[in-house]
Amino acid sequence: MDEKKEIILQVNDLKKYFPLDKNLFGKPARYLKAVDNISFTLEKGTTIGIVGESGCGKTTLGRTILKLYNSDGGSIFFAGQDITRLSKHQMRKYRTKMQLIFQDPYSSLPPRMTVGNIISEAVRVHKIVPKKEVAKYVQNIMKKCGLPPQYYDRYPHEFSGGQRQRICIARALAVKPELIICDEPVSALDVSIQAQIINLLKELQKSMGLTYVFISHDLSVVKYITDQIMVMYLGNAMELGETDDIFDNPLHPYTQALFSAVPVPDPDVKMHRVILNGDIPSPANPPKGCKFHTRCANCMKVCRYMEPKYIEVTKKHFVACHLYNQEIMNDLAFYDAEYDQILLQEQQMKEQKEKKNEKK
Amino acid sequence: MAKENTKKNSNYISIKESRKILKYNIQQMKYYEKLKQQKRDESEYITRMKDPNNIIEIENLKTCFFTDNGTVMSVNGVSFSIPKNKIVGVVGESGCGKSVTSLSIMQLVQAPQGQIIGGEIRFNDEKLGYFEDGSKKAYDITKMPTKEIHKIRGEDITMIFQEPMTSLNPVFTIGNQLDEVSFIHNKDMSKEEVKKHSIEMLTKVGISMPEHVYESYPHELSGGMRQRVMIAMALAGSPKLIIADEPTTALDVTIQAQILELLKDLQKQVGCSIMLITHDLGVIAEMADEVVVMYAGRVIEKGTVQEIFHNPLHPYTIGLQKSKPLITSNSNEPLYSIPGQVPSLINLPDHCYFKNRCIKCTEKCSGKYPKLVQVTDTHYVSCYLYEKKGGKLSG
Amino acid sequence: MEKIKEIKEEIMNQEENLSEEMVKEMSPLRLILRRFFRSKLSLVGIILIAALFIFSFLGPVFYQKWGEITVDRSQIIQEIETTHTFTDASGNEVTVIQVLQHVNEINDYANPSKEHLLGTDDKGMDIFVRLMYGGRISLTIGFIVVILETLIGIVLGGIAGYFGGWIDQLIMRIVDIFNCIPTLPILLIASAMIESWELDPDQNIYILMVIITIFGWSGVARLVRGQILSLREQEYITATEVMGLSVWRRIFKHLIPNVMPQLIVSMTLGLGSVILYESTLSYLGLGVQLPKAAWGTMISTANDPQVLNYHMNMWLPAGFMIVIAVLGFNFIGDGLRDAMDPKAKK
Repeated sequence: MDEKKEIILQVNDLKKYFPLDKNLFGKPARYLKAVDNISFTLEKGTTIGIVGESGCGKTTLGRTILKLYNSDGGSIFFAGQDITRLSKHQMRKYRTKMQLIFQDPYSSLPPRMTVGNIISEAVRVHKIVPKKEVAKYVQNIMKKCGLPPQYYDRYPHEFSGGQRQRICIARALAVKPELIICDEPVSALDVSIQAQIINLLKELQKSMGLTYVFISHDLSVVKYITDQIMVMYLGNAMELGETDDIFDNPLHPYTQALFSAVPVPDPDVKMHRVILNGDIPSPANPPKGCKFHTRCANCMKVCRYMEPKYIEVTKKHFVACHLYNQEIMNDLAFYDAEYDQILLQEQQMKEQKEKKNEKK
Repeated sequence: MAKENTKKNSNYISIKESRKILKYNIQQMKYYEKLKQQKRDESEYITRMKDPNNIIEIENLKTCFFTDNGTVMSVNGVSFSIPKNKIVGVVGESGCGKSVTSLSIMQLVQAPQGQIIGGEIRFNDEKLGYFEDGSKKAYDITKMPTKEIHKIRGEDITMIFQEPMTSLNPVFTIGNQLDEVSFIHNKDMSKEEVKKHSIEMLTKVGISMPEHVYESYPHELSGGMRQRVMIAMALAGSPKLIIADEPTTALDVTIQAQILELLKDLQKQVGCSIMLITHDLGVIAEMADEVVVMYAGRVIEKGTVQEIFHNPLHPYTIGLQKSKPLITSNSNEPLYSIPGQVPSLINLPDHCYFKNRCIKCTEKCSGKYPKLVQVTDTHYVSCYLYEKKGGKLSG
Repeated sequence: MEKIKEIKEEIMNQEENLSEEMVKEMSPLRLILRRFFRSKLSLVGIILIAALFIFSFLGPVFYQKWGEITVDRSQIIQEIETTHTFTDASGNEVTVIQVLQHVNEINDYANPSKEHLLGTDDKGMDIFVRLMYGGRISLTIGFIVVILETLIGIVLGGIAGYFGGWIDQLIMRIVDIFNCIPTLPILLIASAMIESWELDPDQNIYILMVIITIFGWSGVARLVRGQILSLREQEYITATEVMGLSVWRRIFKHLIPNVMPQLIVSMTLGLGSVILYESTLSYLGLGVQLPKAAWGTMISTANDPQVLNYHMNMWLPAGFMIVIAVLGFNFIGDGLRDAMDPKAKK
């Protein structure tokens, strides 16, 4: 890898908490930690995949980076500029540089505008090309995205899902962005159309030097398009590394389970499934310690009370799991004892409370 | 300017055409509704099974919707059968008619717009005896009166829907809804017995705290749990055939794995057949014994899983398998993709519907729609590439 | 490999041409019209309202026999004969015929005839002509009030829905207050006040419009706010934010146009109720004052039991007109609601 490559996006310890309920004074009492301590860096022209199941905060992460939500901690650097604390007005300068492609191609296009207007609106507002050339410019973009120019005057409801997604992509590309956040861009599409869109995105990346943050729950798609992958679970990053690294050598038990859960279209390959027990805990009330411990097959006592640290196991391959923390693994007995102690304390507390209640 | 205008509007139906369509629709809908209203004798809807080992045989089924834009042939001459104790997977993209096929089996097509206009669906009911010549009696669901279908629907054939969020009634507890279903099928049970039966069902689908779930409302459960409840409801009447319409599409991968495993186990336990409708080839490969590939309202290929996955014949099946990215594949090459879009199902011309997207298209393809060609005992394909010399060509 | 690519491109081109021919759909406008006319009632509504418009606005142009406030001053001479029979002293029966001549300066309380198609009222004015003029006023007031209401509603509801927070709270509380004001008593007080100002009848109409608007905008504001709240969740509105469009552009180019269908429906339904409201107020003597014609004031003549019993032609036609107008607008409104609701895809 060329070390000189420009870093376009850097996210440090990003946090986004949604207040759940408020106490008497209007101050939030509990938080839903949708995004908790996420950091990664992204070089220009590369793609990071953010993988996780529903409710893991991947969509929130994407929108927080775009500053659609205000972050509650950490910082976002875009092309070297700190954009974390910018006001909405100051942010407008960066709006055209960062774009978003949505999951649902049906609700993401305004129903009462023609395709041409949808794509050209932002171009006109931001005066990206001179007024006279707008139509030509837009038709050029449409061609790039595989849309025949005669669609210019049509309305979105006349198109199928795949073509609508192309319109979405054209709309995002029209403002000449550098970073595109793709929020599950293909999961609502049919398999044969999925492949078309993925190829289109890849082609555009090559020809225009785009950078993607690719959010998806579909691991096989992610493998195709990304250079790095971050696996998220309940707002936390579980594993981060280069795509090949992660696929060849998944470290975190969750990543392993996720990989083995994907059905393989080959009837003879009956894989040794790691089927996870139970459901994803509610993000509003996550378990203590390692958030994954309730479903983990390798759960140890440490996991139940201590949050794992983020460790770099090999170069650029980070994982948040006690299994790979030598310090802890060398000293397991100590932590077991500590956990027992905590349990004891908790039980004593409970008994005391019960006694108090009895007295009353 | 005027020229441009006409060009722009050429994509829309003219008033004249629209009137014609409307008139035709009203006439057709009236005709089919009248047919339904007619009183039928039992002998009219009892036919014979071709093979008594099949639970259901669909032959040349045609279901269409009369819409304002024209007649949509959602299912256009579909034939396949589901053997007893087997899982048959139906694959296809959205709009290929796989869901409409299943609704036709349940007689749940939205009338009066949607009508079954031809074909037979033969359901092999154990309760029906044999004909004198020894062949098995069966119901023809397409001709059955609505009253009679209630005996089968929900009892012998049940359905699991895609959206576990919307298919449970939010104002009743899980227990209420389960009891209702259990009660319908076992009318002589007492209340306690019904409750016991329901809880038994919940345990069967792997719910760890059945009593607790029995008391809770649908919104208190997660998506996976709800789908389990839906499966429990489908199983309540000891069905012979379960139609699972995209049962795991709305679920996460790890939960999907759980549900698929459960469905497989239950199928073996209960001894029923499953018609598994999905667009995910992975799910099919994992679950199904036989596969039916549908495209634009027609069956284009059917066979056993091994045949379909190891020796796919139809260019569409091949393309579908190639265009699905795999975890194990190399990511540097561009993905194979089928060009173009699924055709609109209105006024389809009488040639292969896949012609415009096919890379192996020949001159022959402009001719009539290709017939289903038998390649091996179980493997059928509808493509000119395999006609006559089908056996020799192997893709 | 390259060959396949070429073939692919060829197919793509072919396919484009084909799709051009094959996929025929209804244009959006026609789709709406089709759904609108699916119910026969909306057609009835259109006919009713069209007839009403022609009657009120074109009627007076062609039927100029009588004006709105011209009094029929043709003298009506009524001779009343009374026969008195009595026996005189000689025993002869004597019959005396008394003839009373009653001269009426104006032709009032006339029954329907060729001269007056629906007769005349207590002041000798032609009822048929007054129905036309009354219709003019009712319809004009209806349209102006509904447009005013909608404008206020869009601005306040839009601001409340878009910005949320304390602005939303403030505006919605004002709406609540307007919703819980007892309308009728306040109006009665207002009418007493207005009467004391002794304005001329034309100005009275403006005041009437202002009053109805003040009491009517809150509903529209609530509707707009609700719609905008749900629209804001739509991804294409998020997209406008990502695009960096300005706040005003987002409200007026993206949010309001998408509320329009619901607004049009509520406006048509509102027309009917405004006409009713206006009639009520006129009936109570608040609105249009005599001698100006309005349907409400015409009905109020039925206050006199004599008129109620013996001169049905004075109040029944006006009541009938109100029924037609309100029904017509409601039919159209219902039809539009079905037509514009994207969920009703039957």
